[in-house]
Amino acid sequence: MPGERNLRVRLASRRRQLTVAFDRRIIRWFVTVVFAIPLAPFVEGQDAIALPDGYVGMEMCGLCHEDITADFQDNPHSLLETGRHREWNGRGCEACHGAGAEHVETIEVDKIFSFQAATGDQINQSCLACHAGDETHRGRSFGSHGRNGLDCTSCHAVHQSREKPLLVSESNKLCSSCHVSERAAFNRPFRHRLQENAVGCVDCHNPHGGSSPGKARRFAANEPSCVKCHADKRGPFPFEHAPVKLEPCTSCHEPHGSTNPRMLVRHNVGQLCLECHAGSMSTLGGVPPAFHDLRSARFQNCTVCHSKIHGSFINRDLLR
Amino acid sequence: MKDLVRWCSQLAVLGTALAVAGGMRAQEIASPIEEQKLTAEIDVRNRFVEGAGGSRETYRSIVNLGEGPRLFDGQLRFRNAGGKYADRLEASGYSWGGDPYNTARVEFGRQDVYKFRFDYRNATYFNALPSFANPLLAEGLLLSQRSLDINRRQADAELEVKPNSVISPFVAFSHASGFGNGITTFVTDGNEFPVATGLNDSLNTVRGGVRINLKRWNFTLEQGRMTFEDEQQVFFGAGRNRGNRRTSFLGRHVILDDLNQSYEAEGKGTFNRAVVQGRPWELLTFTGQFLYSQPSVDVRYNHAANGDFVLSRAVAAFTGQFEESLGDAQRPHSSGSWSTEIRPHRAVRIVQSWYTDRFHISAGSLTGQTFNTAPETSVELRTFDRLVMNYNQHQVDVIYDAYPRVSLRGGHRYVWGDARVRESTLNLFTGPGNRGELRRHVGLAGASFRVRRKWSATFDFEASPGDETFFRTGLMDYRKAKIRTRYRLHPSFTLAGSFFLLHNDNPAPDIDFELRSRQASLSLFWTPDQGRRFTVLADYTRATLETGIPILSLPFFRRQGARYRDRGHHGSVFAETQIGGVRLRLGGSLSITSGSRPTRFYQPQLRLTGPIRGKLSWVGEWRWFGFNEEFFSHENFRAQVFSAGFRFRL
Repeated sequence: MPGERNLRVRLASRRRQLTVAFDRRIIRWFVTVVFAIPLAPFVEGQDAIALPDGYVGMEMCGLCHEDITADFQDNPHSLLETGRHREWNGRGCEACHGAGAEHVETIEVDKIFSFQAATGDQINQSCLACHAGDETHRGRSFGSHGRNGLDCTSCHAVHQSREKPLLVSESNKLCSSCHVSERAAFNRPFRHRLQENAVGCVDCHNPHGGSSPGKARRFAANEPSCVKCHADKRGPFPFEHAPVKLEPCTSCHEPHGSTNPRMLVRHNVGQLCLECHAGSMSTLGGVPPAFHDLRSARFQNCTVCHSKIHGSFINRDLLR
Repeated sequence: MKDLVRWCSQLAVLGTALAVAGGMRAQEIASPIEEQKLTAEIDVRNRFVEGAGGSRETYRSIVNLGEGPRLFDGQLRFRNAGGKYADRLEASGYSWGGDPYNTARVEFGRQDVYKFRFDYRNATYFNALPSFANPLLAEGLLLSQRSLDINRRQADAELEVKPNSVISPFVAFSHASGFGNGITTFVTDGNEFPVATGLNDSLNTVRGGVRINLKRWNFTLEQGRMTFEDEQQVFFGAGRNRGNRRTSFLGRHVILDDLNQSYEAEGKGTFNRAVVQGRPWELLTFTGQFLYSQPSVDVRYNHAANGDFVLSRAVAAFTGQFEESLGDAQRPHSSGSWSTEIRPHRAVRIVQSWYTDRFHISAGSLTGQTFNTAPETSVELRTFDRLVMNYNQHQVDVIYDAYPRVSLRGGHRYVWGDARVRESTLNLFTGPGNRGELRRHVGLAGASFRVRRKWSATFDFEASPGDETFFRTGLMDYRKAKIRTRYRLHPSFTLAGSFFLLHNDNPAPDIDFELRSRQASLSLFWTPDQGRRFTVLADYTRATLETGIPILSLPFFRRQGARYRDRGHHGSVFAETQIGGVRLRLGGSLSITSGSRPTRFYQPQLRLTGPIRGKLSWVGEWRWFGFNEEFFSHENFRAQVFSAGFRFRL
């Protein structure tokens, strides 16, 4: 394979350069590996870690992959090098990529776990080895991202990123790079203020998954995330409007953006209400609530009178 | 002697090596590299709104940008590796100085010791569309009777102690409030009157708990408490309010002279959450959680109104009324879920999930009404209400990695539940109590494949023949398909496309509902030379939605078809390039819809950024907003918004 040959030549050349230059880091690494690490645990006051067989340490990785390791102390994953948890301690890059000695010896890419070459599931398993218990991942099995094998590195830049939490780009842009039609909805006139940075996709959705439709977050244990901001719609009301509690808010509202005022899913409030209140005996909603004359403009927008449509504190007909 | 020298020199080398190694380990593990790094960015501009025309109410309802100096963007990042109290601080803020939406965020902490996060956001919500809830539009009155001019504020703070430790406690506080004014209606027999309202609500939540992070097990225990207040005032005292009715009712014109309405609602409640996540073996992952909350609300209400009124049930005129009401409601709410992922074979995953959500709301209300009819009429109403819901969902998916890059998925979802709600006012058909059932078997299929980093695609399909649904427009006999694909033609050029389809039918003779929804989107992202020369970002979506359902046209209960159509073209394009030292960003978005509410909304914009000296640069921006509605031309508006200022980057 010409590509592989080129890579070998390049890496060999790089190794020669490093050798010829007699880099100080190599001496330090050599001294460390040959003398210090095996003996360091016996030295009083020092807390060095003996790496298992086949592991070479992050310093060695940095010889070739300097672009990655240079600013790694700013990265939350620097914990893999400095942290004392689990079996990471001192492994750095090798905590995710596996033992690197063979890779260093042969300079072959397939002698180490490469995320570039791995399948989505392999990548996820590697990340989940530590992150499966993260609070944000508790709904992972419910979410379509997980079921479709979307790999973590599709959204997260593990080595370095300016965006939190290690995202490959700004959160809203990242979501909309796949969810194009949702981005388009925010170009409609009546919308949540995403473009103005007043809200973000992850304020309402947990991208890792959740038991609610659309990976919607829950607030205060088991309330829909909408009421976190729209606290006045939360209730409980002595007189509830049943679909507000039985169905998601999206039954009546288009949360991303709509052509209709109040982000409604219909152009006309009267039609929206009568689609349920139309005399069906097989569903909830049932008969129309009163004998209104819909030819009169007074009765074409139900919320003129039924102003407490999300639930009333005192009136069973939601009039006040 | 030589041996002794050699031995001593070897000992010296070894000693040096130990010292170096010990020093290195100590440096790497105990104290990270001492380093301080500060980056900051501030964008301050003055904004001018020019050439505004058309409906100011609609402009404020949709755009609402005002004039004056603004902090458009401010960001600060400070790293202080090895800092005694904090090793990092990040702060950011957007749109301060009078804009309708402003946010602030502060985050700081020390690695492995603590993490603190604070979020604040304020949204000014103005909505007074002349066409919405306005029965008097035909008379030329451009006054929405459901108008709002309020602020919604949100603040969240969370402190996590020893975030990466085995035991990690956390405590959080959240505040949400809304306050402002609006217009609502006061409803009496035969007429309704637009009146002013003052709104004021707040919700405070305190929660705390502990996360226990073991090697293969994670537990979260959390408990919280919330308090809620909602105080609303509705008032009118500015003369004779004739209301929306232009004709007499039972031989009398119904008119409001003055009104004072007062709501006071106070709520409280606790909530509990327990989560267990486990990965005992590589081939088994599971998560279980139990949630319980019990919010309750106590309400006091009264109103006094004077005018010319009619009490229809007594066919009597009166001039004054007084009402006082007490009520309460509580909602015990429990939810639980359990999901398991098993890998019986290297290429096979079985994902099972179960979810249940159940609550009931029990409420009572006592109302006393007095009408100064002759003789005086007093009414006392006792009402008890109950709403019950049980919802369950179980899903199993089998995912088979047919090839290293191709996964196939098949599964089944069963949704079932029941609900009991308050009967309709006219319970001619349903009898007391109104009970509904939910039952749906859903077949699931999917596929995903990825060719290296170049091409990825996912396909999801689900269909159900339907059985029982709560509401007429709920999912019943439906087919849903979703395709998403991304193709990286070149490291600097990415194409993405998606297609979504939903067909939902409820063929029951008394319902006959149909819904057809389609969305097709395409986007491209082109950043040659890592965006140094230019960047192009464009997307286009064609979305159509059609629904049809028969409704009963009152007052004669005539069956009539209600159709809704929305066919839209939505898109945006932004190009960014550098000419000389000046950075140019040009583009905009459009949304054009036809159908039931034909609307056009354009937002072109141009931004120029050029260097002044060192880290200081100037910024100028032009934005145009154009809004046109075919059926409600009195709501059209256009506005040009300019802003100019400076950007400082450290």
